[in-house]
Amino acid sequence: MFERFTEPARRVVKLAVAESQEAGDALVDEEHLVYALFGEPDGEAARLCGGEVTLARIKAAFRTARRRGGMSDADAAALAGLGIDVDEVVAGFQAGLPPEALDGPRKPPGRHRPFSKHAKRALSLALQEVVSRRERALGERDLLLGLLRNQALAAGVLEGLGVRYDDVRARLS
Amino acid sequence: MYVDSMTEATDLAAGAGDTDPKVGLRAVAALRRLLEHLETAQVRNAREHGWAWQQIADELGVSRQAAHKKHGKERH
Repeated sequence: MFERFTEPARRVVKLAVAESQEAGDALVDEEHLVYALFGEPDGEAARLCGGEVTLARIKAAFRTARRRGGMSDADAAALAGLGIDVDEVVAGFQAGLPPEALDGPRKPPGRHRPFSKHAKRALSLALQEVVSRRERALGERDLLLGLLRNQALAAGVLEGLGVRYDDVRARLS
Repeated sequence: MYVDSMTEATDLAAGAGDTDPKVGLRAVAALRRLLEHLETAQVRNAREHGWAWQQIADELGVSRQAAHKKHGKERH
């Protein structure tokens, strides 16, 4: 799959793996891909998002979501519309679990570090972006679009910072 | 909603509370992710308490194979 990635896009994937390793996470998740994409303040992803979206703001939003069962502000708002208070649900669950149990799997650094289900989906949606434009090379912009289209945690976090799929896509054409 | 030009599709939307389908679908997707997250945490906690896959599967209402396949290797 990676043969179609541009050099900068490959670097993002490698950085994401390193981010996961550093954090001691068991998987390479969407979160690590986003950190890698926005690692450079003047990188393509930051430029496409209008420069308002900084790594510090992104990390803060992911931290908040982690404490809330992986729900972004956008997710929490969507569920509030159904009468579900995510904070209350998570607090209820946490009461019966050891602290940090909701943080996600941890493991000591090992050789094999697979991508999470959501990260895999985001990567395959990034490839779909390239295919839909009848292009060959998958760049950083496609990784960003793939993450936004995946509608999982990364899309919610970025949406909370004012980044939407349609806007980024429009900026490209 | 334009009542005079209602198609079957808009009828359905009206039945679901006259809202944009996107809102409802997004809420369902978020709920599913929350559920996955909580399930993972609960299963891990049960394993740490020495529960067998069969016991976990019984509580979740799934087969032992399904529980093990989903949670045997850490993934999310």
